[in-house]
Parts: sequence; C-alpha cells; structure tokens
Amino acid sequence: MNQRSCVLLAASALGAALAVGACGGDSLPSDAQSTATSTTTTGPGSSSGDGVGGGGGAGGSGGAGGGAPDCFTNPKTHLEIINACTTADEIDKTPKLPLLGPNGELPPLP
Amino acid sequence: MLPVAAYRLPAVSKDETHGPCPRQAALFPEEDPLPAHLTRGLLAGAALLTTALHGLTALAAPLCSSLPNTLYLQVGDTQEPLMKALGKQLRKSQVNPITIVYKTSGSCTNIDAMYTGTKLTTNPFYIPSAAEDPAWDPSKPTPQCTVDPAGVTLDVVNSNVFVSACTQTPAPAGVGTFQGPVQPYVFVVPKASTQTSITAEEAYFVFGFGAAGKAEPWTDEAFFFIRTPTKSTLLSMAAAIGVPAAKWKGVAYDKSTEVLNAVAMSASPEKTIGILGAEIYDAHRDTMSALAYRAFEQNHGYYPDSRATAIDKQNVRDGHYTIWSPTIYLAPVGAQGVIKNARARYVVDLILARTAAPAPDFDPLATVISRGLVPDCAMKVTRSFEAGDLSLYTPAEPCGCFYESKVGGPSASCKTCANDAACGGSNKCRHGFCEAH
Repeated sequence: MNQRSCVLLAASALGAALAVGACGGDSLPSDAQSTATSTTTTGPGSSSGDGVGGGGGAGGSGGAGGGAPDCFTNPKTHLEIINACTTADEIDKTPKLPLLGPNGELPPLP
Repeated sequence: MLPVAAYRLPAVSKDETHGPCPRQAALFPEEDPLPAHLTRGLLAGAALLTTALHGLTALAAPLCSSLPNTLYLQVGDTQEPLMKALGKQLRKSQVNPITIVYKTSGSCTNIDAMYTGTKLTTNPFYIPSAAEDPAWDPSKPTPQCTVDPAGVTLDVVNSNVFVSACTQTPAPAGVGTFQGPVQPYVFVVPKASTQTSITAEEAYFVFGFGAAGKAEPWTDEAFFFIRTPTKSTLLSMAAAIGVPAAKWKGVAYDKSTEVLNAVAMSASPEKTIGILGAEIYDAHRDTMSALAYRAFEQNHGYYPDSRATAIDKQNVRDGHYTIWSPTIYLAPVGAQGVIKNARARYVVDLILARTAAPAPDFDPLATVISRGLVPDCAMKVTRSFEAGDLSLYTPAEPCGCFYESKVGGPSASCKTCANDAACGGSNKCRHGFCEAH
C-alpha cells in the first residue's frame, strides 16, 4: 500500500468515526468502539489564558471535518477516559513555558 | 498578617528554635537589673510551677492501656478526619464499642512500621467518650493518652498511596493489604490568587525546576508549600507530574495543617501554591482555592468536583481528575488472609464498606463519604499503581446513587427503594437506592 492510499484510508476511517459520533454515541452497545466528538474551539493550544467551558454533552456535535477529537462519548482506554465528554466544567489554559520543547517535550529534571 | 517566613521550617535552624539564644544571653546582663537573690527566687518559683504543670498534664492524660476496647492505628494525617468521625461513632456504639487510639505519620513510614513490627512508643491520640469529654466532637483536637514505655504493637496502619509507591518489597508473610476508599489530592492557592488551573507540564516546571522553570507566576520556591517525601500527598502528586518526590522544589512541611496555614496566610498570594488532600481543602474552602488540573495528554483541566463550588468528586469518580490514590490498610493476617485482631477486622471492614458483624448502629459508608473520601463502590474507574493508566471499573456492589445523595443530590436516573423488589430486574436496593446488580 502506497503512502497516498494510507492517507485516503485514514481520512475515510476518521470520517466514519465522526459520522457515528454525529448519530449519537449513547445508543452504542457497551462493547462498541469509543466514539470521538470533535470541536474546533477548545483543546491544548487553541485558547489563550484561562477559561471555563461548558461540558460537551454526550453525543454532542460531531464536528465538520478534521481536527483531533475533543471528547469521547463511549470511552474505553485511558486517553479516552480522561478526555470523555462530560457535563463538568472544563478549564482551558495555555501557559507560557519557555523551557518546553518545540514539540511539547519536557527537558530532563536538573 | 504574619510574614510567610514564620512558617518556613527549613529557614529556622534547630538552634534557633530549641537551643540557647546567644543574642538574648548577651543582652540579659544589661537589660535585667534584678538583684541576684530575687532572680534566684523567681527561677525557683518558675521551676516549681513547671513541675506542677507537668504533674497536672500527666494526670489529665490517661494511660492508653486503661481505655476500653482499644484499637491502635498509625495513619496518614489526611485520614485523621476519618479517624475522628468514625472513632466517635465507634466509641459510643452500643453493639461493638471500640476506642480508636491513633498516631499520624507518613504513608511510607506507616508501611515500614507494619513490615518491621515497629511499636508505637510516643503518646498517641484517642477518641474520648462522652463521659470523658462531653464537649468533644470531631472538629476539636483529640486528647492524648500515655503509652506504655515499652511500646504497643500496632493493630492497623494506613497508607494513602499504593504500597509500591513507597517500597517494591512485598508485604511480609502475615501482613495483609486492603484497598479502601479513594483519596484525591489538590493543588491549592490562596483565595486572593487569580490562578484557577495548572497543567501537568506547568507543575513539572514549577516543582521540578523551581525558579529556573520560569512558569509564571510560580517562580519563587519560598512560596511553594509542599510535604516531606514520605507523605502520600507528595508521593501521589509526584507520580502524577513526573517529578520524583525527592526532587521537588519548595518548603516541605511535616503536617497538612502547616501547609494549610502557610498557603492561607501567605504574604504573596499570587506566587503561592501548595498541595493538600482534597478533604483538608474541602474543610477550608473559605481561605483557599483548588486548581483545576489538566493531566498529560488531556484536552482540558478539571477540578476534582464537577465545578469549583461543588463537593461531589464527580471528576474523580469518572476519571477526568487524575490525581488520586486509594487508601490502603495493612494489618496482621492469619489463614486465608483474614485480619487476626477482631477489632481491627471490624474497623477495616467498616472503612472498606464490607459487611461487618455485628451490624454497626451507624452508617459507616456515610461517615467515609462525609470525610471527603470516595468509597470504592462509587468509583467508575480504577488503576493498579500510582498515577497509572485509568481503566473502566464496575464495583462488585455499586453505591453511586447513595454517594451522590450524600454530596449534593442523586442524579435523575437514581431511584429510591425499600427493598430489591422495588428495583426490578437485576438491580439491588442498597442504602435506600436501586443500584446496578
């Protein structure tokens, strides 16, 4: 499989996942794959300063195209659990950290 | 307001706190013009008064061995509120009265004490009966009793982090470990601070690098109020942010109350940050604020509770707030891992929300919840080591609706019940609510 085919396949998979999310993840059986919900206004690096956001409700907007999923309506893994959709207050912050690497890597401790 | 320096333990040398003061000694000859015979008389009087006071103190503190149905515990100081609340109920119990006698110490110290059979040799605290102190309640300091000079064997110890966070050595034969309610931990700032959240990356630079981390506004290590490295509060947070406990920058205190005071009375609120058990913070929300925390690879920050003003631990229960550890209880066990000491077994069963015989004449689960802990039966996620990945969890006997009823109100899907028949299907009626299986 060439690189172009891989990209197309990944895009198709993402589109399918978003479509499932838009149709309401709550109705999925408990052993179904987790459902990603994408938004465009939150997430690391997307805001400046602190702010309280309302929780993204389960089965919320599926988003229109692209972007990393913001929350999961049927979480299974650690990453999905900590980023599951919730009604709780969400606090966004983009701190200025001069020692943080360009790709977000942490330097060794002194 | 007292200057914060007054609370910094490392800045005060042993000589300054306990030893003779050279400056004062030099001044006395000039500033104390009393005749020598009068000075000697005053000193003798003071000595007599001191002796008399010591005598009164000794009279006031009973022998621990004279207290009825004692159970000796050594616990982390985050669990002192639970010891007091549970202890009061147990002391007045009509079905199985027990006197809780306890000492607070660091989790790792406590584990070591049980592993090595270290005896309790310093005077512990005890829960008084109504007859001994009619005015006592869990909001008041507990009195001390005088321990046998030869020491007393500990019946139960407690750690508020996974044992593996303190030692990789397995528990010796004859020592059992039991996982209890969940203990959340929080970063706190003074009420006057404008800060509302902290990310894991920020915390890494703040506590791992100190001033050199340049993570504004927390760049002055003199205003980082932390705990010593054997304490669960530090160990749990250290694992969460990836800064080993021994490498933390800041002013380390032995007691939670010292962190509490230092944060609340800081002379520079915006630069100040501290760490506490959530239940300690919950009882002092008037003087400080907990920060929302965004873990590594998490999209948003969250409070332990659903919002800053709530006390429902919703985000601990469902995994959005990740800084928590289970409380662990260790005790000598016999065959089949059953705790040998009957009183110890009873108390551990109550704390773990297990069936205990005789049935208590109070609700131990409600007592655990009232002290800011999240019982295992109310958790929806779990982990197997300190700061380890979370996985979904279904308790054997869920109590989520009951938990919610005690912390602000059950969710709409919760249904009250008098018996199993009222719940239908495979649901069970527990603590007055239909719960799953």
